[in-house]
Amino acid sequence: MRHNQQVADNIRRISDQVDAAKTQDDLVAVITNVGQHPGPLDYNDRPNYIVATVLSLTVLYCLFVAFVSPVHYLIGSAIVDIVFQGIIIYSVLWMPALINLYLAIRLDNWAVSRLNLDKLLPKAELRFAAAFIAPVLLFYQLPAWHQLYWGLVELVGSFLPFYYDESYTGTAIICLILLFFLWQFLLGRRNWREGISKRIFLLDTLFNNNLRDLSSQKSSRFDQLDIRFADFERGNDTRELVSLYQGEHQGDLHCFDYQIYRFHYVVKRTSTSTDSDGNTTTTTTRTSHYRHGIVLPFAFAKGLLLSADGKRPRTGVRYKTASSAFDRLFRITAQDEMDAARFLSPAVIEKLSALPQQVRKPVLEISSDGLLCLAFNDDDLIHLKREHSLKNPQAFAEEIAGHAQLDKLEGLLDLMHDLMRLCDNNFESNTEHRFESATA
Amino acid sequence: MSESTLFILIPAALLLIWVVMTYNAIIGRYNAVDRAWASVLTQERQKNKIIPHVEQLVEDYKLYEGSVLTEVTKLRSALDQLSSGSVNADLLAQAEKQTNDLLMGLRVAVEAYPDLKASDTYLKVMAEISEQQEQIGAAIRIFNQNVEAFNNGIQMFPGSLVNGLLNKKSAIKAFSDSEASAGFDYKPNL
Repeated sequence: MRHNQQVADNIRRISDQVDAAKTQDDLVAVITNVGQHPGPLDYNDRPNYIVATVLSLTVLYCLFVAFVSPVHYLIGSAIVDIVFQGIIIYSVLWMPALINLYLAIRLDNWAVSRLNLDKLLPKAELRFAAAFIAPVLLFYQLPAWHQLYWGLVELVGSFLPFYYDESYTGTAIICLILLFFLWQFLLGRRNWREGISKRIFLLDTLFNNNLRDLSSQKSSRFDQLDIRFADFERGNDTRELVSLYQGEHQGDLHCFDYQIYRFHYVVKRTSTSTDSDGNTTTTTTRTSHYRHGIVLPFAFAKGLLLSADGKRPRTGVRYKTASSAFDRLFRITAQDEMDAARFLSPAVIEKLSALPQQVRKPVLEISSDGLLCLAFNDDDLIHLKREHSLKNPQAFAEEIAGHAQLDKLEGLLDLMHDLMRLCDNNFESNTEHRFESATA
Repeated sequence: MSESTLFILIPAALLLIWVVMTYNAIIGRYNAVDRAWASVLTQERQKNKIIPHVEQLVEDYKLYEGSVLTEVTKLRSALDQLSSGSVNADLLAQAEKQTNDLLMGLRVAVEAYPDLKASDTYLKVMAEISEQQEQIGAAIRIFNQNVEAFNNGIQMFPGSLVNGLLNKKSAIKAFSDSEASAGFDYKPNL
């Protein structure tokens, strides 16, 4: 137990160091430290695997006696039957105790920092032992709990179509559910390096491309974008920005701020069906979808929407360009046709014609107050393929020390720069484009 | 209405709808070519924007001995002659030639006036000319795309049938630069 506590503390320290990193060199130093760490860095999960084995065998026993030997509800071997009958009968006590124990392991840091539980029980072993024993003692005293538990087990067991005794099938199902969560728990502990490696790689990509994490502004930024751009009119349930980063692009002529976002929306569908007996069933399904995009200040046009996604704004007029091929690619809606005609010059049309080959289902919008939003379905704007992880610290440090070039993002920013170059007035100096405080 | 009448009327109605749609598609493509050509001319006429700035350069740097002013006059004249009424590629080519001559004149002048090369106005004029050439190049490519779509529409079967009977439109020649093509020995046997 002490060993696992040390591992948890070491992992937490490494995670804190990653979060505190300000440069690529800091990240490389963290990886190097992991490579030279005296340890321990790997959990000893033998007791958990024993629990998992017992649960698996209990499932097999329950299913065997329920389906293969349903007359006597026994397997035939006295020792085996005694052991597993005991496990099943006393599951009324050990099941809540086991769940409580894993919750206590999971929430120990929180309990220590928020509830100061370490003052009452200074040793982690004591806290975990208490988490297991307390429910046993409590539920042993409560006859109502026994009735409630077996009622619940039999209810769960009745979901299996071929049953003779619901308590066996119910115990098997509950053990299977516990096994699933235990498997997730063990997998998370065994692969802790993957999660931290992913975080290191993302931070490295952000540092390399001068991107700042604006997670704290996601909610307010979403409200601003939602009222400006039709592309956010999606979904009828949850609608939120799940990530927001800001950077600066320095082109040959123009320098501009930009933000990269990931928009999550949920489509909720409710369907009602009636069976032959006239019983009505209502089913609700929620499907998550994501859109990604770039937002930047753009003072050279306003009130425009170019959609290759079938997206239409509520207001505006349809505009067609001189290029039939371009009109087949994009549906253009403008608040004012003259603004659309000025923006969609031949060179701009040519540049934008290549956009559907760069990203899937693009929608380019320019708001009436000078913000441009380019939205699309591709999710690989700031996510590169990682070759190594903390499992191989030396190779991972070399990978992180290299430059993570975001080619797709650069290509789109170059396109945005070209749009500015083609729409600006060459005899006026307006080459710095920053977010106004109200829109940033 | 008897079944045999319906048997004749329904295919006839479908044929009529198809003829009307094909006829309208040819007209639509023809108008797209016309509009694309108007766009080429609009971009070409944008060169009028740079003329006052070039004249200002001539004034500021006393470039009277060079040919710059003459080239400016010729370009203005060529731009005035461009009309959107009909597709006249020769006049466009003439305006393009005058633009190139003006660029050449400016470059020659720059050799004799090092201060000019570093001047803000000169750099802006050159950027504007370069951007306008880019716009005209794009406009011509869009025009040629529309010409191809139109020509395909009237030359490919069954569009050729409708065009021969009803629209009676002729194929439009795509824009090509005779000066540039003169540089090649090879000529495609089109």
